[in-house]
Amino acid sequence: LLEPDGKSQISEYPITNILFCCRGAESTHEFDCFAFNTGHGRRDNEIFQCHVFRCEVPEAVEKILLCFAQAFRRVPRSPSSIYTPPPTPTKDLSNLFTFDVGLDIKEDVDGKGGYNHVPKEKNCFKLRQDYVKKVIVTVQQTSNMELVIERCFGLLLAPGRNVKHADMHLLDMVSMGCSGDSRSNVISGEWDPAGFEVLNTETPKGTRVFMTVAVDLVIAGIQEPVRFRIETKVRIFPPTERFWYFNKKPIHEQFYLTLKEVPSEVENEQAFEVVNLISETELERRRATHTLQPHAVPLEHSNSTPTPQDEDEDNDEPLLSGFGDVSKDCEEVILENWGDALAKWRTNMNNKPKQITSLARKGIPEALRGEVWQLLSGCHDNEDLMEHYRVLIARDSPAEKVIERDINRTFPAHDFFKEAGGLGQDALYKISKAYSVYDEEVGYCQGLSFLAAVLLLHMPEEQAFAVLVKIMYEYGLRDLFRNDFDMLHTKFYILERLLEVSLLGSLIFTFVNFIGYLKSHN
Amino acid sequence: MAKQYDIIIRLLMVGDSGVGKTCMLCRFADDDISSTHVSTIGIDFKIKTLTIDGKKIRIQIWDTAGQERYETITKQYYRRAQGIVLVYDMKNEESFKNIQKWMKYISDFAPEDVELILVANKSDAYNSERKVSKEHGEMFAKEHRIPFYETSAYMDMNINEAFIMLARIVMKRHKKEIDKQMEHIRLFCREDSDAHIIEKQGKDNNGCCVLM
Repeated sequence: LLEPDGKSQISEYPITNILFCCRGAESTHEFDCFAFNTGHGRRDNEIFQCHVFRCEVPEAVEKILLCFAQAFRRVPRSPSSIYTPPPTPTKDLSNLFTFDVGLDIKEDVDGKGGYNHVPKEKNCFKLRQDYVKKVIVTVQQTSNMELVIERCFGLLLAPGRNVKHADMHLLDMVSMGCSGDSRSNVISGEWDPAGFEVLNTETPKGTRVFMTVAVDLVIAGIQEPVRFRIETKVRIFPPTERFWYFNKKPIHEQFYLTLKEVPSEVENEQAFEVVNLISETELERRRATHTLQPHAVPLEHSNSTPTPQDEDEDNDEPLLSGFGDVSKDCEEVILENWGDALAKWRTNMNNKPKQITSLARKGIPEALRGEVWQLLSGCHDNEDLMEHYRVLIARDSPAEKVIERDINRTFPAHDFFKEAGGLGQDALYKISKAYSVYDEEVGYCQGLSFLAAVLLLHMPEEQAFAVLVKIMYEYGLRDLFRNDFDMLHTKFYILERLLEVSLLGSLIFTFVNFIGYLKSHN
Repeated sequence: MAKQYDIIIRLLMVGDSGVGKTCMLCRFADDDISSTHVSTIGIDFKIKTLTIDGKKIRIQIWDTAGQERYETITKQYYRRAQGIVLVYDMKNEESFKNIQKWMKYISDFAPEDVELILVANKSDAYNSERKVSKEHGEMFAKEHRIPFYETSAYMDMNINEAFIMLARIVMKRHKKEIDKQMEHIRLFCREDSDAHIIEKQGKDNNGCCVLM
């Protein structure tokens, strides 16, 4: 920030300390303003400041924000540059080394050394009691000047996570060598189940325990051994357990190693000291405790400039079907507008504020959906229906079996619904059943559970039921399901005819253009 | 761009709700078995390209909702099917009994020359869970002169075999049209050995045979 004469500096903020910036909304008094906030200090006593500026030339605001957006994009998204303590210079990545570390576990299935991969579900290994196990760790450097890994100093194991150094147990090392393509180091060790009681005790159904594996590596040029720790979850089954589905891929973890060059005792050789070694998971965890999101894009331009979040979405985990996750991001201004409108609405429930319609058309922010949906559908004073719900859930339904079959097939990957017999599935079952009793004609129809599930994610059971009833009866959805989908077929028909008409229209349009083109080139 | 296939065939999967139609299909088309399949609402489809007897076959498989009330929608897809996979769950006797009902729909709505196979899914079941014996399934299949398979989408048993068998009998049934088309494609090759011409022709002509 410079004085108007452009020579002296008023203040300076490192880009990595800027958390968020935005501009005033169009056609408001703040139109020519922009603001950003910064954070300093450590996590536990961080200080936040908000800086607001007014520009003499309103058009400049846009340019400034674009500059911000570009600057944000240029700073590497690797959180190591944002959240690690100051010694990591963000501009200079020459001291940052990244590693890919893989972890795999095998079991001696025949007692004679015939090792088989243990199955894995998500990031959880499924182990069986009493089998001798082999832990295999692969370490591969993925960036920067190549460091030579001289040897493995030790392979360690312990139940739990955030385990202290002293609590980890050294495993008998079997081997260390290079992989086939000689790009990564493979360290494997044998693990006698008797030595780790916690990891040899059957885990109760649906629970899992943490386990930490560490390797101490001696790297040329670094005096102290470098310890890579991977934490993972395991479930332990009885020795007789059979597994059907085998996912044999090892789990992988990224590590960021920051080194500092120190005076070397041997001439012509570089010597380093470890400044910091952190795993991606740990970074994620730290990032999660930071509730702030690095937003960098001016509000009015979110369509034209890619946000830094775009890069985040590039993760390797395949999207499971029925994931059903919703973006929780919402810009401050929009929330404020909603806040105003809702406050007005609450004072007089029968008088819906005008701005609600236009706000709703832009999408209702995730956090407000529960309330807004209830208000919009007129469920705020529906005590009767909610009371009735409590009666309905006690009744039997002829569709019980069908519903049961669908419950674990409704958003099966969603955290709230994935657990068999969990809270989510239980509520879903009750709502679907209650509706099938309430509406005898439609009863339960496949697809209904998805609708109920979406509502359940935003509001308690009774309210969700009330809104479901409203949607079905007052918003015409029920008509689609009735009479063998008669209305649905009609709508399909209408859609097809409309498509025909509009396609025909665009065909004619193209044809006319083509004739025009021919004429002009004749 | 060269055509990725020579021939398209259309298959359809029918059977009661929850017998594992979607699971079988995902296993066959994507080699994926995750516990997270959502219930099929209405209709869905997947595509897989295979080489059978030197011909590149694109198999289009339509997956239907098993729930009764969706029948008005799913019935509309019978007409275009060349092969139908009838699926029941060997742990569920009702689903086996209902094969009769599905057969009736097929005779009412599917083309006359449609080929069928009968599949008893969930063969990973323990013996105590099994409600429909292999003999019963086989007998039914024999009566109707259709191939019979016991499969497990979960353990990937017999899934490929079943689908490929159906593809083969569909191809055999439509051998005449296919041979004509293949000859057509081959002729292009002979007329002009320059590969890109074939491609071009292929594009203009779709270079493939769509069996209706």
